Amino acid sequence: MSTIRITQRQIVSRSLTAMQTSAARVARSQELLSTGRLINRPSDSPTGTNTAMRLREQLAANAQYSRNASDGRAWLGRTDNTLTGMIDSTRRARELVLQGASTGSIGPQAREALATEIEQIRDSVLSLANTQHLGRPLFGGTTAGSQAYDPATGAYVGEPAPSQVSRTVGDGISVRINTTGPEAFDLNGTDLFGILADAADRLRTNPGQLSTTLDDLDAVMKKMTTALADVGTRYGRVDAALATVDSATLDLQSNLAEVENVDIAKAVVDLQLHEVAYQGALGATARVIQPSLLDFLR
Amino acid sequence: VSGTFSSLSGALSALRYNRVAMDVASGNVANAGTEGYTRRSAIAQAVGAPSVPALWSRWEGSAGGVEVGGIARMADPLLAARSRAEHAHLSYLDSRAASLVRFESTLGEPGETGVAAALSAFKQAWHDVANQPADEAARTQLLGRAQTLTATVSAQGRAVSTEWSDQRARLASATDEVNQVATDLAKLNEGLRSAYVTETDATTLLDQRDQLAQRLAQLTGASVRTNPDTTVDLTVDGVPLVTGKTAFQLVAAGSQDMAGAAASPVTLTLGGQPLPASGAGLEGEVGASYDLLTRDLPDHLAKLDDFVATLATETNAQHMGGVDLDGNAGQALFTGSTAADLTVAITDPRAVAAARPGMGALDASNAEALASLDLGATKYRTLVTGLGVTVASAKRVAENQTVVTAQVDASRESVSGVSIDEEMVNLLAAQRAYEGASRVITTLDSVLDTLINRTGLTR
Repeated sequence: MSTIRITQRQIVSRSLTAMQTSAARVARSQELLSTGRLINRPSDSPTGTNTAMRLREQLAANAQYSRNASDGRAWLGRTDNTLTGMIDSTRRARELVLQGASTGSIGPQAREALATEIEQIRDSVLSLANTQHLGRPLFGGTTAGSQAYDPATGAYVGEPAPSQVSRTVGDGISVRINTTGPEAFDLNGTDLFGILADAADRLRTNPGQLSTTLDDLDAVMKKMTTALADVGTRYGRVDAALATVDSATLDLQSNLAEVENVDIAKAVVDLQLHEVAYQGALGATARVIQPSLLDFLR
Repeated sequence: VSGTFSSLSGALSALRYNRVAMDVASGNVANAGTEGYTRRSAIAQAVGAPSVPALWSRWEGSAGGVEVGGIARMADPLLAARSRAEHAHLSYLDSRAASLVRFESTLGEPGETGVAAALSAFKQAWHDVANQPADEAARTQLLGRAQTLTATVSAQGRAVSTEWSDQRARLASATDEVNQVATDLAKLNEGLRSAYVTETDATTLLDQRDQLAQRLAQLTGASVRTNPDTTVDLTVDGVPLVTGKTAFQLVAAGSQDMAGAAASPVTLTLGGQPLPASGAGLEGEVGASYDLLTRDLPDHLAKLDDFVATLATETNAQHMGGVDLDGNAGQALFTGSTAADLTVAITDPRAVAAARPGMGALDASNAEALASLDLGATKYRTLVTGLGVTVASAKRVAENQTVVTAQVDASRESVSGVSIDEEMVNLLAAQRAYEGASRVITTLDSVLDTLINRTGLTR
């Protein structure tokens, strides 16, 4: 027999296969649309899975970098404010010392008043130096204590160098966010608080030495200003890193959406297409299965 | 010289033959939906001169009758063999793909519930500890996330061993079925042999034989050799499964769970001989289960354990280089190095070693360094991608094989299947032929009537 015999069973099994195939396509389109995701399991697209997992990992890291940077910014901002306040106070103290140094125009009682004010300035600067951020002294480095300087003696009680607090703000980018007391206020063995105490003493007892005090105050203010500039620079770095991380996060999210998410318009059109094919298969089956020669024999 | 009644016997033979033809057609129609039924066809054979002329007599008949030459079973042995081979491969691929797909869906990757997400969260917790080293809440969160990580990892390890146990049970029931079917086939061989010797109609037995052979091919990928006496011998990978009326036992031995598989690996023996015998590997459902049990699933678990070992080693090495909140040297954070036994060893949040030694109590550089480690994330990603590739290719190959098998089945059906239309035509043809033969008898009757009742009457 040269022609291929087509039997009823063949038609039935072919129709079943065709309907199953079409139904499977419709189900796949439905899954895509209802989950909204192109990759529901690794085998849907192994390379896509790899990309998606890398993007997700990076996104999680970036979210953390962003939090780290915000946290670091708060610490640096607090340091900036505190240092600015301390520099202002120190400048006021220098003016007072300058007044006291003009020996010809001022009497001992006036100097006593100046000394008292300087002592008050010293106390306020010292308490500023003990400013806490989230329970930790800003200038104490990695100390577990609550103070950077002893409020009574003015001695540094924070953690000695290297006493670094830093935040990771990007892959392999770690920015130091703290400034320790000695780094900002220390001047060759003596520090801001010692100089101010000396200034009050000299105003009372030895006004002739006040010019040395003025030199010391200038030097320590220069050091504080440098520290302030350094804090500003690091604030800028953290800010820049934050901006980079945020824009990278947007890019990563759109990449992830491209890899993982369904193009709704395409999925809807595909569903329509598969539905039509499915209905076609159903219709064809209904027409093909019914007739046989029996219908036409009398 | 034609005998007086010879035409009548010719017509009678036509009546007989056409009744058989109608019987065959009705049998075919009745079995149009029967699984494994091969259509029959009545072979007509004209009765005429003897094929071997006699020495002293001559055949002088002008027409003979018809007789049933036999009932042909329209089977193509080559197509049947091809179909068995394709079905064996298909059931291997289908079983393997189904198992891999089932197991893959337990991964939860890519997504927010898998190991990768838990690992990211664990690293984030280290950053939080680095940001707030004095905060016990951050440290507690870190330990909580470490617990979550071990839980998701061990869930994945359990998914592998659950699938393993499942496949082991499947292998056991498949071998039971193989032994049952092989025994049936051996008995059938005995029946076929005696039917062959006594020359009785064995078409139904042959249908059964082909069906049992097909089932054994699906189960084990057995190859079939048909003997001249219509019995069949089956071999699996060169080892005999059925020889004549003897069936050999297929035995799956070894551990029932994955943990014991190292000490007592799963082995297959057929009639005492080990399988697989050659390097070609086994086919069919038994082959799929065997490969999953001895290759695919253990491989995946080994890769998972490798990732876990990396995670534990990297974390512990860094952690033990630091000091905790009370200044003590860091302990190992994880114990165990496999998915099954990975646990968090630290319960006290103060024991998290965030600081480096000698850098101050609230130093967090160790936590920061730990947070930026890879901790096996790359290995895990490779593992998931590798599994994805394996599953995708298994699915694709199985789909292709489905198409090939369907084509071979269609060719086989085209030869052996029952077409109702064709049977109707055959039935009509036989009916008309029957009517024709009846008409011949009527005519002869009338001729004889004339001869017997009217000849010689002169009134």
